[in-house]
Amino acid sequence: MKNEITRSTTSIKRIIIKTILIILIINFGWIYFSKLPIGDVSLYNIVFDGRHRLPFGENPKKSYNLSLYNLDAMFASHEINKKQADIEDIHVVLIGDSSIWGFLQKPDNTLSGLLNKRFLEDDKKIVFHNLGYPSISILKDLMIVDRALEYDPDLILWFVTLEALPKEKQLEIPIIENNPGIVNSIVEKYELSEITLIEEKLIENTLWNQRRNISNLLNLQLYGILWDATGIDQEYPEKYNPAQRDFAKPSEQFYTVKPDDKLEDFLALEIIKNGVEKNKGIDFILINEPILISEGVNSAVQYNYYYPRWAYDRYRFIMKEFTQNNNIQYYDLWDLIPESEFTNSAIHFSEGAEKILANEITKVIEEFIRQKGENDKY
Amino acid sequence: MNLNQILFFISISLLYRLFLKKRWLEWFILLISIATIFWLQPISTIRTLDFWFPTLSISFGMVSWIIVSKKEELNSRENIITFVSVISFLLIIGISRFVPIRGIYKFVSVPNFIHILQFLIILSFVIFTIRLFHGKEFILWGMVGILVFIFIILKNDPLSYKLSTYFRQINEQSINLASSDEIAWVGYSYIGFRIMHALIESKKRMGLDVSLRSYLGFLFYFPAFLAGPIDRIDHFQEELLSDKKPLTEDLLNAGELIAIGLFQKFILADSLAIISINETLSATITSKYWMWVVVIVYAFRIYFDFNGYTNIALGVSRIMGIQLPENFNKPLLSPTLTIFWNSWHITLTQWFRAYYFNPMTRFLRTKFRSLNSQFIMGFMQITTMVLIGLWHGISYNFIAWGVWNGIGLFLQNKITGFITRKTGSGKLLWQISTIYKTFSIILTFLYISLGWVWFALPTLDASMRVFSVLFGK
Repeated sequence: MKNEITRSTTSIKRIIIKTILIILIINFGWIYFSKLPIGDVSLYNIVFDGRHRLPFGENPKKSYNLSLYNLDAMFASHEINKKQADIEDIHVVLIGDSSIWGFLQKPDNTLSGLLNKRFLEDDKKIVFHNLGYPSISILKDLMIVDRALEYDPDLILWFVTLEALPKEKQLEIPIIENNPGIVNSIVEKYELSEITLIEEKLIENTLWNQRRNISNLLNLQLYGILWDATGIDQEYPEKYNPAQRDFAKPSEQFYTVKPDDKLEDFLALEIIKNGVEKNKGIDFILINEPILISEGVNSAVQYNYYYPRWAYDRYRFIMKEFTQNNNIQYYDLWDLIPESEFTNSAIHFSEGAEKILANEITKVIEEFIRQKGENDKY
Repeated sequence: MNLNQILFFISISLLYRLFLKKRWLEWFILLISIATIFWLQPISTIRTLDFWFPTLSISFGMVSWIIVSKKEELNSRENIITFVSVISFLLIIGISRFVPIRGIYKFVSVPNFIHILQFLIILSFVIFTIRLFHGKEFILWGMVGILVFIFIILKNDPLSYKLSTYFRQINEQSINLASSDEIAWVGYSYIGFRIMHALIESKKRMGLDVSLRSYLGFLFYFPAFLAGPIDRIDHFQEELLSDKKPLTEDLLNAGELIAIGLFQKFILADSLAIISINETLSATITSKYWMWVVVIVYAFRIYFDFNGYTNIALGVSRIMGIQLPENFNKPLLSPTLTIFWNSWHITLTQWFRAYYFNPMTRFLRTKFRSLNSQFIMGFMQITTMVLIGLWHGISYNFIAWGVWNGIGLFLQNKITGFITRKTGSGKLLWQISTIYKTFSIILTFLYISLGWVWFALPTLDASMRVFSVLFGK
């Protein structure tokens, strides 16, 4: 019996040591594999249709969609990744936050969905690609713009709002935090002097630390089946809390900025400037997106949950001056949508609001085509 | 069971195997199993229900042991020690109310100590009364009746709801929040069937030669507590007493089973669960192609889920040197429905065969000689499958699932019998060539997969909608 236990113990020790070694090799070996573009491997646009908007979902079981941080996988799942049948089509990319992504709106009712319907029957088909993403950050926008360049867009409609611009928040967005390599390359490529490089930790790329991301990649493919089968890519609750209209304790402060401070010093306008400048071959139109203008309690101090009036008014002035100085085409649509047409946030549109915005953007596009009339493609 | 719980069971079993002598095995299983009953019972929104359900499980175990064991076992010193130990365990939980043990509330909400004492007095009275009538058949059938009665309440939503309302009333809690989901007696399906098995076997053998310790260990055996298999008591006792295989062999085997089980459950089944048919998908999918996909995926998902848990249970048990019976034998590769149901949840099928199908068939054939044997066979196949369906829950859908499979079994037997007679080879078609076999496997799999549509969905309407998409234009 004693001999048996000794023999067994020796064998078990050997097995344990070998197992640990194999686990360590696979775990740390993943650091190398994680650098490969595994996110590009996708069943979207092959087995099932590409998504009309970038994957995002807080409750995958209900939305058949999930949030992940692998930019390759996000784009691979988007219909923009489908081989374009007709390169003669004009491809317009929409960049922005959750309002452009279309929070609470079905894909056909988002801005891009309505524009696609509208321009479908034209001789020169204009295709709109929804590359909005539900987080408010101008650096995140530039990261998506840079990635979208691979698809050779003709025009980029870049929707901005003041909340996307504070320098201090640019690195605090999950999709930014989880893509240090890409963000650092953007900072270098676009010479963004105001953004500090993110420290890349190799240990973060071990198999163990990446297990959630790997699982998300697989789940994104599985949810693709449900997306294709049902057309659902977002949870549509029957009831939601409407955007705040009354402000019992209104604030004069925007982040750390007070009315006497210089707001422009606080804004990461360099990201827009360099983003447009470094991509001279592509047309950009900058649009100040509509916001909820409240008429509730203390609305004389605050326009809405995000903005004290003084800060937003000054921002609009700064943007006008900034775009003129940098020769960027700019439309200020801040007050386009009536107060009643906002849903659960001061920047989330109802179906009616989407239609109003689509009408306005149609005019912008038609004006753009008119300006570009001499070009064959237009 | 979640990963942490599985890891705990693996670790504790390993600690036993490496550091405790075999003579402690029964004690080890008993204590860990009883603690497990409380641990795995989720904290209830009905005050202290998560204490009373496990306590009732243990009480049923002790009461049923009095009924099934031989008279000479009742007064043995060993059994009295076990009895006192189990009661002490319940009292210790009760005392923890006065000497708060850090974090105990995460495991169980402890009722008033007086209530525990009152319950134990009633339990002692019941045990005393049953001892007086030891060996009487009506006690045994009375116990079976009580088990079935509770089973019906637990598996029937309206009845569970009423019970929830009643519990809330006596607890002075809001009855507006009553829900059938609150009546979740974890492990009851398996415990009930193990007790019924022991009761019927004891009747056949004029009492079982089993100690209270190994009997309770058999009923509540922690690796198999939640998802089976449903072992037989004589096999379990043999395993407890038999010489252990070499440690390395057991651990390697256990490691393999656990690794396969974890992979099946937590990687395959959990991933496939995303794209398996459910109530929402049944209402939202309009494409025939995708509906077939989600229905077929469900068949794989339920297999990997259940077989995964079973493999983990077999593996954890093997660490302690106990071999539980296999519950699956490649059912998805079955060429006929008969073979499928002989390879799927084998121990449950065997239970129904032993205690319903065989005796009832014998009864019908002897008492109703005029009845056509084909009719008896069809009737028995359908009712057996319906009962297996009802074991999962009392609803029209589980009945439909049982009827679907019962009819399938009956027709398949008729068809294969007809073809065998026609070919004259004495062999079934799938035994003749690989092509026939492949075709039979696919056909069986599709029939079973379509049957799961009844099983996976809560209403007949939802199931019918799925069928209309699958077979519509």
